[in-house]
Amino acid sequence: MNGPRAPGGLVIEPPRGRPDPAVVPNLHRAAGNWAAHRANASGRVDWEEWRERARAVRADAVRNLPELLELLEARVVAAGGHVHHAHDAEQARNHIVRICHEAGATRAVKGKSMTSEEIDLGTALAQAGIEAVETDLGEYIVQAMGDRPSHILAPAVHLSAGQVADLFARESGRPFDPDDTAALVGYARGVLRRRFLAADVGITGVSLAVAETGTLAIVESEGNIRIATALPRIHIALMGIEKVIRDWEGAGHLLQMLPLAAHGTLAAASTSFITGPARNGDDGPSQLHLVLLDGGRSAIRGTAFEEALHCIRCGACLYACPVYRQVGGHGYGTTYSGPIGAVITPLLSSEGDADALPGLSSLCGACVEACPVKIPLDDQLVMLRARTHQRDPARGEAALFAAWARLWSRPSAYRATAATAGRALRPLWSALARDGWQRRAPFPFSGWTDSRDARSPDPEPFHLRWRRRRGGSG
Amino acid sequence: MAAAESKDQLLSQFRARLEELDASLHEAPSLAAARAAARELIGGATVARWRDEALDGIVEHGQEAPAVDAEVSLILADVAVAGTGAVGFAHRAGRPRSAGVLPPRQVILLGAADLVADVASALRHVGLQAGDAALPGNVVFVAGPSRTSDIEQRSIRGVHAPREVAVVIFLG
Repeated sequence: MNGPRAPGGLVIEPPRGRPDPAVVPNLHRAAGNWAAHRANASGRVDWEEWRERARAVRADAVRNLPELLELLEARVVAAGGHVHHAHDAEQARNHIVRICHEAGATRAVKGKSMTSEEIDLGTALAQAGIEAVETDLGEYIVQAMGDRPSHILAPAVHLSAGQVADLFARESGRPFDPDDTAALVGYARGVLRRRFLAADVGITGVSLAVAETGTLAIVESEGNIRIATALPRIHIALMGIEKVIRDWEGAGHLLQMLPLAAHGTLAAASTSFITGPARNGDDGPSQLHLVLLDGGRSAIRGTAFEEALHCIRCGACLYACPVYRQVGGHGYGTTYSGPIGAVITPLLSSEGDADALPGLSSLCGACVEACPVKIPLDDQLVMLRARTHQRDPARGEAALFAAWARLWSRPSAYRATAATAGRALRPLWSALARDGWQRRAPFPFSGWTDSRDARSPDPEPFHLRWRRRRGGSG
Repeated sequence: MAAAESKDQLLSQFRARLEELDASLHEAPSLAAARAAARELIGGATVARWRDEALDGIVEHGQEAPAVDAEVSLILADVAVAGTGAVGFAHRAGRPRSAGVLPPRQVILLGAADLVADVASALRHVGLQAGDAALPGNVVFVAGPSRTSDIEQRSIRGVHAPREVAVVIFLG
């Protein structure tokens, strides 16, 4: 996070590629498509009942997380896989680099995984001398541009076809027509096919893990996960610990909810169910490594924010959010964007450096309606805003407002102080105001005007004006 | 998706779903007829095939090619979901993952007895349940061709996995 730092710690980082006016129309088109598909698909099922079932499956999983993780580990090991625990991002990176080194693996193909973005795996692999190529088309484009994904499911939604055509032309030395999408996809397919055939290791995320049999389920559209778990001799799956669920009944339901919520389709283009490494003449990887990342998740359990762990990473709340649709994923400056990103990023971070993210929301509640597991995102955003102010005593803002609320809750105290305050502050404020607006108010109000303008106080308070209008009877 | 739906209802639902998914469905009264339909779909293309007996007699030996070079993959489904259009298959000896995913075109044979109503039934049907000693180590469900909308939301069929999928269902 190297971008300019706005007041309150919010990082505003522009995309690293050439700025392109297509970004916002792209986002609006994507959001429009999503809404249309979703309306169509959710009309085919009892959407509210399905959401409630999905919520119950995730609630059971998160409530019983330690027990289910223990069961998952036992089953994965029984199936011949290896399980590695990572308390934080660094441990997860170290596990993955060590597995590669021990196997003599230097060429990796990666499936799309926001968890790998969360731990900044790409940088660690490059430093360790492991060549890792993203194989999801959007991720491949973003990686080749030196950019970062801007949506959980559509990493390159902020880029235009013209930018992609320019990139591929630079890579290949031959021109591409931005309108010939099939040619662009065909080129990437060819490049990546060679990478797949040469790879020693496939690194993927996990959509959900079924504890009772130790099975990893991975959902995708392009088929890159299938190849990354077919050709390389080693499969490393990186998973946030909250992705485990109890049983196949829950799995069947969530795996239908995920494509419905994400794309409005009844089934994902492909879903892989992986239980252990390949055996008995199956041609898949001979080693399966499951890396379980805590990364601050355990600390959220048992708090008022526990439901944030129910997220199945469908991306619906991003497209539903009016703020995301305007600023895009990069506007948040963090791995996870949109309403769920604004909730989990400050929760997963111990630094307090993401505390301003919950401000990137209008609290309109569209995200709550869109969420297939009914996370109360609006309530959580409000609670996080409150938490930030409570634990920032240096600015004294919370204490000031608490005192002000107590004082002005009493009509007599309000009447006694409001007019006086307005008159007393007037000389000071008018020196700083322009057209009746404060761009920089004096302390202690300066925190407020660091990020927005304030109206200058009126010397005559509202209650006096009201009394005058009513003829002194109020 | 009631449990007691007739085979005809399941088939018409499956047909509608495949149409939405941009996959083709070919209906054959018997396995022999399904083999003939598959042969016609494949034509003279090179083929990577699974070793299932049901797939015998469809391609000439000289037509076969390694998965990485083949134009068509010929595989047998273990289950299909009428409600979603998804087709599921387990990988094991004689049914390599590479042959199922690398070629750009795919022909999938499916017995009508393996067409079930919903996802939950399909998972059980293919052995993905607790306490199943024969739980398959690797199962993939596919719903139509592989696809992407990563470039300006334009929907394109065929990325890394097959771009054309034909399902041949046999009733006998």
